[in-house]
Amino acid sequence: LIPGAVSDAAKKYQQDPKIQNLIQEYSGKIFGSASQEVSQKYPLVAMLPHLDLDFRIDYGKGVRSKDTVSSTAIYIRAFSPAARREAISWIRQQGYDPSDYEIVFSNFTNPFSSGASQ
Amino acid sequence: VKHWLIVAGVLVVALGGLQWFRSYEDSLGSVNISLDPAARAEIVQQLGEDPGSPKTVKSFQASYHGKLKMGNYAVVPHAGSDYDNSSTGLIVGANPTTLSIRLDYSDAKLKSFVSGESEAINQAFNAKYPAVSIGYSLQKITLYGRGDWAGALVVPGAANQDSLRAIFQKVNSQWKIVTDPPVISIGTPVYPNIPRDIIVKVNILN
Repeated sequence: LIPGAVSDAAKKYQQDPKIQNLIQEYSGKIFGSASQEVSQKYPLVAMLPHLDLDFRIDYGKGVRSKDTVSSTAIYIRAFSPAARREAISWIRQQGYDPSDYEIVFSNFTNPFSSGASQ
Repeated sequence: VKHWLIVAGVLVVALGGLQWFRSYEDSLGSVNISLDPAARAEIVQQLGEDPGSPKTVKSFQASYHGKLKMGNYAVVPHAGSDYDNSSTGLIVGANPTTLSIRLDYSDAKLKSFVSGESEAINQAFNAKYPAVSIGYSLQKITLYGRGDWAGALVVPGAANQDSLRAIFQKVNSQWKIVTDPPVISIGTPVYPNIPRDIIVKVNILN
């Protein structure tokens, strides 16, 4: 539903963090209205988006999820390790176990993603 | 007339008995449970709201194949102090129920293995991430299952960086990281082949 970038100019445009955020939000809205199954399987989504002083939690399509029917991920935008821990705590406080969700941290670059030997 | 009355009476009783037997048979569900060969277990009936005095319905060793009245039960293993003897829920319904129970080692037994496995787990980690692992160390290494699963915190040496979590599995005597890369929070949708209870425990290592 959201067109993929083809030209170099469009790719550059989509890499802009502001545009990425808009795409992410819009994907979540489309995705959310499309699937009742998602809210049954991943009930946390009913409480999203959630905005806090130090973090924001949304949901959208899974990135690495093996759930082929209702692939869903929780997107956390937080700018510090402490804020990311707070976001996880917030999920627990709502009565949900983060273990049951794929959680993607938007502002976090995993140092191990590119450091593995084959 | 008297004879006919007796015959009719016998028929009524027989039909009543047959009806009772059929309804009794209909209330039973087929159950197959397999357990470790050396372990004993009891099947206890969950008595609704009152968990005070569960009633033992069957006792068995290694396996049980039979019929039980439909309802909620628990299988309580008695495998000795080396094993986690937590009970497993059993719901008997109209369809056959199959339950395969693999008893985990007790926490005490698993803890006794940690020092002997830590070096191999660290080696597996360092071999997988030779460039990055220098700045990180594995902490709170904890074993699960039968000592064939391990979880750890991946802690940065530098301040203001995220601690990550990793799960390892021992296959053919070799440890291998199975959550590649380590992440802040491990999710069951990404790793459906790792037992959920292990993921839950590793996500609360602190």
